[in-house]
Amino acid sequence: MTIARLDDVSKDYQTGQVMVNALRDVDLEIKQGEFLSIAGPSGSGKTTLLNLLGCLDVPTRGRVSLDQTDIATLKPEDRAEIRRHQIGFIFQTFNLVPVLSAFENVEFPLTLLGDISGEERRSRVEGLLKTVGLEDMMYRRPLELSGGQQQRVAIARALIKRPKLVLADEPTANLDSKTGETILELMREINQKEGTTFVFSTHDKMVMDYALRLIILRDGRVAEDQRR
Amino acid sequence: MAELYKLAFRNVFRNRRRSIITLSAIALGLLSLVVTQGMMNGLGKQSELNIINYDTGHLKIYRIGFTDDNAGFDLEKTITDPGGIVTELERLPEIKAATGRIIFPALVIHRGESMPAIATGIDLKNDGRVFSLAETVTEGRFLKPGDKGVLVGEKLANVFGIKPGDEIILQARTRAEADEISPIQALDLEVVGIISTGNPKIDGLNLFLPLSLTQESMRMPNMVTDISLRLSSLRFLARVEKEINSRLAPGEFEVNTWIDLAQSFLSLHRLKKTGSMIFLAIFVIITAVGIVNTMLMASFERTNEIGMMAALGMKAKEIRRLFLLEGGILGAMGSGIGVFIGSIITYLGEVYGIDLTAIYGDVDMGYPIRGYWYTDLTVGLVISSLLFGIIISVLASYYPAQRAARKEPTEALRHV
Repeated sequence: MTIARLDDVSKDYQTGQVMVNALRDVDLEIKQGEFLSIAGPSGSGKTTLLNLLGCLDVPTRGRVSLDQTDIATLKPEDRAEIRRHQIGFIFQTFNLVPVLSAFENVEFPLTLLGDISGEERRSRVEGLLKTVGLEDMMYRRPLELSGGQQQRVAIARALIKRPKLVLADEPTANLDSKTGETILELMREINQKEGTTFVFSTHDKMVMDYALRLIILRDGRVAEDQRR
Repeated sequence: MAELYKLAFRNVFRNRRRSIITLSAIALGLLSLVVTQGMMNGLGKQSELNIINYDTGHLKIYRIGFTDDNAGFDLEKTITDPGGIVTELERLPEIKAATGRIIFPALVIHRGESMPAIATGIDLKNDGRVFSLAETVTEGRFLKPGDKGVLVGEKLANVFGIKPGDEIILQARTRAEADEISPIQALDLEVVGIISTGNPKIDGLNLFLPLSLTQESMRMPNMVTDISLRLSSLRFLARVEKEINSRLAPGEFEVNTWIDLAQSFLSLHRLKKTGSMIFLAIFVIITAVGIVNTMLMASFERTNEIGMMAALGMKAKEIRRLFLLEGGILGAMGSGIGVFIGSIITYLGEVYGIDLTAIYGDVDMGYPIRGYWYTDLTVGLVISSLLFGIIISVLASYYPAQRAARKEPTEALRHV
């Protein structure tokens, strides 16, 4: 089943006086359960592509559809609603809230959903933190955790609402290779067990090797699309 | 929503030093507000009581023309047979008591020294039901029926060095008969007591003697110059004024409320209150700028986090609410501390008073108070100050909150 689709998508944006053509005429279809990596040099359009898939931005031309809905037709509030329910994000710099504990950080997306009881929230958060191996560190704040542990918290936060799509922007960039591999292993396990769709952007060869589909961007265009 | 409160609360103390500085500024602002307002309210209340209890009562009835500026105290414009009017007025349920007085200008002479003063003849039976002079005697005693004596205001007594038991001469022009030039009467009176009302006008200028003695000496049998009234509550002031006007013979009498009679004090008080409000407004603006600055810094420092929250699905209005909550919490805590300390200071001022003599000496500061200035702490002042502090803080946070909410998620996430 297709969960995201880009048809002839281009994205331009202005940085200072310069107009940057971040993406040009991109066609792409992402099916449920894919474990996909988007690779390419800096400035090739990886993050822009993730932003469009994540409803954080709209294309300049072409059509980005999530569940057959053209995201450009939605109001910012409705796009936020889609992100809230359907999309999980994992960031290169983890982006945890420093004043919240690991437990509270993971719980945060559930509190935004609003209709989940405290008891259910607790059991889901504890279960997921156990899955990512942090059951003994639930009440530590981000600064009391290592980089790898923080990224595990971020993964749990992205997964807690059981999203259709998880977008990870260079998730291993700030981790050593061993920790990075463990994190990738964890995500692939979740992908296989739960059928969650993962899309990464990366520079990292190891991440590319882990992916079951590799898309290489060059100058904003899809240069290669390899399935393994 | 509870989670949002928790997050907001923790965010407030993210940069502890900055929050404490802002909090202190808010606290200082609110402390000043409570203390200043408590002082001004106390000043107003104490002055009001000093005017009502010793000078005007709640309402005064004169014969038209008695208080005309040009005529001064015109003893031709008197109220004859006040007993009838008093009985009639006391039938109104809102009127607690009524009493007649004779007020006339006089010259006080003591051991060759003289000074102009105002003498008041008071009805010893009824005056205490309208005024509170008896409790202000500091030396000697209050007047008794049959006394050929006088009570002297403390400041006036000090000028002459008068003590209870001393003799003074009171010289005044009596009421004139038809075509007669009013003759001068000199009364030898014994000072029976010294009074200190706290109202500088009374303490510095006034003497009180029995009404019967005054009526006899001033050739005013069964006459008074005014009838003073005390109501069961000040709430009835306007209603009773209207009612009396409708009952008294039209064109003969004028009814003045204490507010009419204390216009100069009330104007001064309004002016001083406005002055203090301007000073406080400047203080509040400075505090609000501090809050704006703190919240802007917070929103700038947390740009990346705002982007992350938007990515997790937080809507612009929720981000705005988070920042407004943070401002509100900062304001509530600062206001709470400021109002609490301000209330303690104001309460101490209410119990112990501020010794004006120690600060200014016995100088008339334009208010009908002297000696101690008592502040006035009310629940209304505490609650309104708290609300004011919180509202100002939330309003001051609006621009930073709006700025955070309007940030494009992609831009915010790019921010390093």
